[in-house]
Amino acid sequence: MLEVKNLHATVDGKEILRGINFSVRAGEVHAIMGPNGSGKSTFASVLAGNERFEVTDGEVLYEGRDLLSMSIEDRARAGIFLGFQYPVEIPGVSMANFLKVAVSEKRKYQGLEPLSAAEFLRMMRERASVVELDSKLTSRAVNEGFSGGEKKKNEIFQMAMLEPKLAILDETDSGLDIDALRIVGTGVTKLKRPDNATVVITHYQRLLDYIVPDYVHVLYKGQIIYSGDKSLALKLEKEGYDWLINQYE
Amino acid sequence: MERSLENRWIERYRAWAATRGAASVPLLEAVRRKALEAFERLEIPAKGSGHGDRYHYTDLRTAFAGEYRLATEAAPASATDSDSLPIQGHRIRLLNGGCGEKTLTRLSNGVIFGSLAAAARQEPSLVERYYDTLTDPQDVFSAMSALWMQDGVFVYVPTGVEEPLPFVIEDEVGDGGEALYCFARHLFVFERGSAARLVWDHRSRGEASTLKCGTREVSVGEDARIEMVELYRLSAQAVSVSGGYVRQARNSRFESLSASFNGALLRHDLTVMLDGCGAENRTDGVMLAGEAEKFDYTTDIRHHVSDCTSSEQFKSIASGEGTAVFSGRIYVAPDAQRTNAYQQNNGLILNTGAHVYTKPQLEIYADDVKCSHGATVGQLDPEAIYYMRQRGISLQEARRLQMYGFVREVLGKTRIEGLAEVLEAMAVDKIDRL
Repeated sequence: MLEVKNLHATVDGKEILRGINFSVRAGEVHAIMGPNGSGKSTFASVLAGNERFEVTDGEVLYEGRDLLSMSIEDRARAGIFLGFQYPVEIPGVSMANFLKVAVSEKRKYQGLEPLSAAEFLRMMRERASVVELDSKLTSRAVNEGFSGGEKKKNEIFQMAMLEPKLAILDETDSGLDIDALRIVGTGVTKLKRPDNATVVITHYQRLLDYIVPDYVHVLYKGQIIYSGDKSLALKLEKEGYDWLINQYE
Repeated sequence: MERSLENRWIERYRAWAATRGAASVPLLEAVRRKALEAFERLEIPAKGSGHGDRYHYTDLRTAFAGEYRLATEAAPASATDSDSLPIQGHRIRLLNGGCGEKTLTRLSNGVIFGSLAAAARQEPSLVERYYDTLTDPQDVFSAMSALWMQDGVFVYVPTGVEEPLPFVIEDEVGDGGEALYCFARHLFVFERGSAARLVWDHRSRGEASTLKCGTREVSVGEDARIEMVELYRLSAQAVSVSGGYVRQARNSRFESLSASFNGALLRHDLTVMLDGCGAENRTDGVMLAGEAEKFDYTTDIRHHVSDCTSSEQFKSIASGEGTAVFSGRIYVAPDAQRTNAYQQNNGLILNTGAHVYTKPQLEIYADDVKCSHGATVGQLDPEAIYYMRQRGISLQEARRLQMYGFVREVLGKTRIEGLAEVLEAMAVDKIDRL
């Protein structure tokens, strides 16, 4: 599904990603861990197409297509979803209207007819329940006045609405209390299907109790320096990154 | 003071007066004579001039310097029009400041509406009681509009009458290919305990240069509840200079919303006199200025007595070489205790050639008041655009959603049935061209 080869990227002339090699197949769950400043969020942003970052080398194939030449919105319509670490508030734009536009643009891209108003409302109600999101929030402006937990639940709600093939969740667990963490974690698991894949970026093992990864990777100084199975996350939680970093340096 | 422009207008007036027949209405003529005296000492303001700094950002002198034809007797306005608003209501049709047939409609509940000239003829004592009673003697545009007016809108709602249908004023300017000036005076009288809603649609007929100068007086009686929504969708060569004087009696409520969508230069001047305790005023507006459009909304909310409330909310977006100006003065008289006044202005600038100006002026002489204002000028939020695009929304649609989201809070305030949807469609249409 996703094939990243020797990916290099800079921001303001400073190199953050220094040759990432990474691949994801349908049905898989990958966790990316690593110390602060190692480039995890940058990697997620580059895959989503954030224009703040400049790709200086390497290639990314998504379902056989050159992902880096696609616009932000076309990547999204083709099934890439980024769960934001800091979801953005959009005053005056209601959640319902925002999602209606997003869902219909995606359906248009897929050559599907737009949903009727009734179908869309039913879909919103159903999907909001996946993350126990108060359906009243859908009449409010996007993320405006949402609590930290509501914002993160709202990311997973949008993921449920847009049914991505590849979901990249950037520190979706940060700032969540125990209950919200469980709701978000089990929500993501409910959305798992054999034909989609999830990449979870996290600092903590606790999210991985709910979203059980097939692979765990450690990103350090812009490279993946180590990969393992889910037991690696437990080991990192106990022992930290020093043993790996020492090995690498 | 250099008066060649004013002198040219006086000559123009004398030439016109000499050709006018004897069919005039005494009441209108009396005001006209007074207006001529006033105009002989007043000045058409250049940028930065005028009393109280009212013309700080906008040059109106140049607008009056063209050699346009003065619109005389207007042809009857067309009865049907594809541009007509899809709003149910009592139609008042104006073309170049005139109501055409010069007729008045009388409803069984006592409501009278239609041509001001007809009202001055048929209801002289009623019109005399209110006409030219609220205007500022220093206001050159109210003098000019009284001087050249031949007609205008008249609406009268008697004591205790709640008129269920809105009044829809279809105000067109332009006459085929010829550049022209037109002037009008309008009079609205809402008696004690009455209720009414009005929609005023300013449109152009054709693309020729026009300058429309109108002054309205609105008298809002005790306990009356009035809502007025105005939309400006004039041509790219059209200038509108519009003055408004609103006087509110005790416990009355007057709410206005003005949407400036299109026009070369739209200048709005609004003075609200809160003259009765407990009166409430709400003045809101949206300005969407693109290309070389210049929209200027200047307000003067005057708390003359205690316990009144006023709130203003204006939102502007400027692109291209467009300019949006909001100047809002709030005056609180020495005895106007327990005044509650609020003013907010937010602007978005889409590119470097565009300008948004905001000028709050609070003049407070009482000590027990709550007065506040807030102003912001910013740009579209790139993070929000990125967020929307990441959800599959195109760049253009993301910009549109954000801009519409910015102004919808104001446009959605109207309670006139079906009007919010109309304003939304017009705003989206304009936003697509910003």
